[in-house]
Amino acid sequence: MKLGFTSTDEAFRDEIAGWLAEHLLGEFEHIRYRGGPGDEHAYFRERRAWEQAMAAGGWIGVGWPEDMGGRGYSLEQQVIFHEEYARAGGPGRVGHIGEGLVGPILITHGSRWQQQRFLPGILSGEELWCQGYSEPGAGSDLSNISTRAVYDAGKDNWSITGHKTWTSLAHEAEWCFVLARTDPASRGRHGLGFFLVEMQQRAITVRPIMQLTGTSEFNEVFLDQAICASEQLVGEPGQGWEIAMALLGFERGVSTLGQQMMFQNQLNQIITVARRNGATADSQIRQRLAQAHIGLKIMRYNAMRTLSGNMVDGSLNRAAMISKLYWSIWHRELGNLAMDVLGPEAEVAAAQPYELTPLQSLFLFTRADTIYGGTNQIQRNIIAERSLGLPREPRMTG
Amino acid sequence: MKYSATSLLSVASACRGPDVQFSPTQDQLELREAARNYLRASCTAKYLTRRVAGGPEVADGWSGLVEMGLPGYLVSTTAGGLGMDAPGFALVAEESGYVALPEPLIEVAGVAAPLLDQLAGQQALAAEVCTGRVRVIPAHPLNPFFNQADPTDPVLLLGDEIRLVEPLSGLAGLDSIDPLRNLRRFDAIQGGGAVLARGDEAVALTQSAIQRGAVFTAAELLGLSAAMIDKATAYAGERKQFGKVIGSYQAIKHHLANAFVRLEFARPVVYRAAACLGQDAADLWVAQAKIAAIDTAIEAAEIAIQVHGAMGYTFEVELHLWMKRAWALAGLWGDRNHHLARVENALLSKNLATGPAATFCNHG
Repeated sequence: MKLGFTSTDEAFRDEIAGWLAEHLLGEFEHIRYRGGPGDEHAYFRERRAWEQAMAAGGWIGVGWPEDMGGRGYSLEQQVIFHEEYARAGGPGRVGHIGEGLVGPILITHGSRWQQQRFLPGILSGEELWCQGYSEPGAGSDLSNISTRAVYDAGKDNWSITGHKTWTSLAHEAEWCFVLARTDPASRGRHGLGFFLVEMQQRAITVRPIMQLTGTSEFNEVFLDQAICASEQLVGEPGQGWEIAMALLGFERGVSTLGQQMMFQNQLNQIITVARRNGATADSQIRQRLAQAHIGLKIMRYNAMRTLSGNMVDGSLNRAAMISKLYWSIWHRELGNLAMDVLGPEAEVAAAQPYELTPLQSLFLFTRADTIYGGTNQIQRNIIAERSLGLPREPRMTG
Repeated sequence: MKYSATSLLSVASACRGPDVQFSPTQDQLELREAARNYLRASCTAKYLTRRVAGGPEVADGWSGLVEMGLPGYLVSTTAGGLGMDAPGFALVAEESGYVALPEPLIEVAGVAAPLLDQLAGQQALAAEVCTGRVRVIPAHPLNPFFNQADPTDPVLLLGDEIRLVEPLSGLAGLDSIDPLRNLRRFDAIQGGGAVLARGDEAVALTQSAIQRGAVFTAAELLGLSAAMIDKATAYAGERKQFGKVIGSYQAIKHHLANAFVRLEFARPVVYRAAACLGQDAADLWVAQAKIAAIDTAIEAAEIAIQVHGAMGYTFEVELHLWMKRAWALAGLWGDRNHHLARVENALLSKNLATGPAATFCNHG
């Protein structure tokens, strides 16, 4: 078990912290702490420019292998990178789906052509990605996908028709990875393909979904015979599920460890408010603040344990199974605590029309933490079935 | 020996405490029924959605309540009211919560109108509230923000001195986390206005006004909770995943059962408080009622959104309007910490009588 970082790691920490201190200034000063979860609609144009500034500094793909254009940094260094980024109030990344999901999956499963075509656009911050997995009928039951891909041998391309939903960044992204059924007779996780689809085509319509925050971070995406060249199918027809799951392994991987620093920022903000408005005099509030601190430490130590374990392949998936359930519940309670610290003031928006304060946004967004990326009910099923080996819940499909 | 239904009822009535009727009277039930039918037909989710979007075509929601006689529910018949009592109004407040009514019914009918009715010389104003000509909005520093639905409504300022302040012109409203509430900052109210009561009278009237505000808000929270549980139950019965409706999975149905259990345990606490307003220990019962109702509503919201999944996080389903109302009302007329401190104080500082001999009499 490892309780800290090496001196080499700490030197790296100074490097990234220094770069951020020098660059998160001027035109980017006002987007610090903005654009994170619950705020992804904010300052999009500025954050796109910031993504390219990060690219110019060589800070995109730090964990990718060097022969793929990355910097080949260790897992520990990647964690430090994410921690320092959050500590500095780095704005929500608009390129995180490309960097964290598409890049890694193309590096492990993509063709040489796909790597050469798509990795540079991610590393330069010029091509953004979105994710086309969920559908109205395929949420918790993700494999129940009905979007269909039909191969046209004459044109050597695929025609994709279906309805995707909860697609973050769909209105901004150049590309979307789409899970679609290549075998119309198939059901469940069989007969799926993993496609790289260009968003700028007439056959694709994007409709924003209004969230209870009054803003839109995600969208519905309607594909009506959208075209995808055959070389943009990753792997083979029928391999889609396997590739999609490998990609979700990255999603629950290293970048979520850095999120604890964001949590720390939020807890600090709540403590500041409690000190200011006198809520610290309330014994219940004091205890809940202490509990929140303890919960954060538990997450931190679990992350450190995960890093020091046998994780040479970079997959933190099994540990992440318990961590999503834990952090989502912790974070939801942090949202409740923020409202209780504010007292009656919690009700009042920052400005009209319906412009919420950061703590109100935190509260509302944390209502979704126990839902997205696998609901707590699904997480508990996964833990019970995969970690404890209990029998699967009776299912009709899949 | 077998008990018939009738004999069970008579046993139940023999067991009632001396001052609390946990079963509503026939009059109360009939008025609740009328209010329920009207509110559920007129204040639909579609109507609320239109209200949030705004626009002049949205029908005025207050005149219908006036036709029902609801602003005068607690006002004496001599002043043109219905002359009903607080336990009955708690049932109406529950119904208003059930439909997430976007009108200041609790403020006007539950708090301000009965106060005016009790004030010498103010029955005429109470009568005008009953006819809908004027809507008086109460304000007290316990609520740093109050819901003034319309800037033309005069404000009844509660405290050591009770004053009627003319409409606050030129003062911008504030947005609430609940898009159907229009807030004003309490400390923006300037001096002036007519003094309606002073001294002990003002203090006593203010205290019972606050108690009514808290207990009717608690009742409203129960109605919101019941609606959220019903919405989530309906959704769980329709939404399919893994080939079955999600309500067939224990992970979902146990959630809903938990919310229902909490709601049914909270109801008698609120009814008890409503029945005992004006008594010495009413403060304590009201505190318990508000805490029970807050806990019920916060849990119901948490479970309802979880059952709805990502849909519950959007404007696509209207659940958010009920959740936001619950979150807003939780802080009104004393938040959870405020009322918990009152219970603590009663228990530990005032030597509250506890134990079997006291629990079911007048104290607990």
